[in-house]
Amino acid sequence: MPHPLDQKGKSSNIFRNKDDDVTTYDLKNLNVLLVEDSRSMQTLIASMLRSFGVGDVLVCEGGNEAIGILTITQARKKGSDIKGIDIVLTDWLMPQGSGVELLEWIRSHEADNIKFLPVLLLSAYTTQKVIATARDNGANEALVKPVSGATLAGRILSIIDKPRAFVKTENFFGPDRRRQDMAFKGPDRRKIQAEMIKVNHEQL
Amino acid sequence: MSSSDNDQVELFHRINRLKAKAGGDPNSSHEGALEPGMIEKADELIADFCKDCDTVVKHVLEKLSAKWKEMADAGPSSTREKLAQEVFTLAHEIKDIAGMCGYTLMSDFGESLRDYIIETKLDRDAQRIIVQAHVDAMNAAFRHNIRDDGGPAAQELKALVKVAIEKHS
Repeated sequence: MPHPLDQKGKSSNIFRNKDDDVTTYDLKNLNVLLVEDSRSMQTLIASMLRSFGVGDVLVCEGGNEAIGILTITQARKKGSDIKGIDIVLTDWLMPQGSGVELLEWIRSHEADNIKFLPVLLLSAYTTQKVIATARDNGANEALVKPVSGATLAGRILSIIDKPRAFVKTENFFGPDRRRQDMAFKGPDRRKIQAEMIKVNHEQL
Repeated sequence: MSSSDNDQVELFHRINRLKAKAGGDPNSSHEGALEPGMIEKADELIADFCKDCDTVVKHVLEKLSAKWKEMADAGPSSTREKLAQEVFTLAHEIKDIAGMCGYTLMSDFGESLRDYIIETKLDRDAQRIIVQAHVDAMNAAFRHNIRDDGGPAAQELKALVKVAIEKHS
């Protein structure tokens, strides 16, 4: 089944015209970390992100290097020249630290500006299992390669426009795995009662 | 149902800083869009990338073939694991680039090779025959410009790889 964002004009704004009454985003203040081991794909995807107006695209070749970068950028002091990362785009399979290992590191981190980072997982695999693994490890979005302008933009916009609450259970931490804009018609199998849910609202 | 600490679920509703940084209202549910033309520009980048496809695919394929030869000649040694990792990376790259450039068959061979390398240490001669069959099939597909997996030539290459896998696994 195609991702809802891949169906032209159905659930995404990316194809709207200039005259439509929607906010036009300016991504110049966003900093994206691209983790991709293929040099050709690095160049292509980084260029695509820049064509969307993304301010800074940092590129590295594997999960291990990404961990090093995030450790520095997210620990920056106020007023520092170092820019914090806003979104991580990571390939799935890489010899120098896989996307899933990176995702696990991010979601298990203590610091809020790391563990809540939006992560978009890129994969050359097309199986449902991969998508389920990405979701169950806390990815916000998954995108199957080869990418197109519309699919990449759609995932970025989804991360901006439709952030899901994070859920912490005994064995999961990540964005709510149920997309709230999609009606669930099956039987209610939830075991958790409302009073067992602790809700945290971030304050400014 | 009894409740315990293990049943505890926490929900975290975060301020949408990303939306604010992009110029939207973080408290609004209205969705935004990119400037018209940006998607087309990104697609043009893909089209430009694909213009050089043959050169890029050829380059990666040559690198893969050379690295594989180096590994096959190396024999059992400490460098073999490192070389196997490089062969894996190149197979992965072929999968991505060939797929994007319309070489579906080669992309499938790249994926098959990559997945095979994950599962094995490539320390038996029989396993090396399987890798060699993949590399030969990819080179043949490129040399004869066999792009998709529909024609008889493509079927023949697929059959050769399949036989190698079945016979030597």
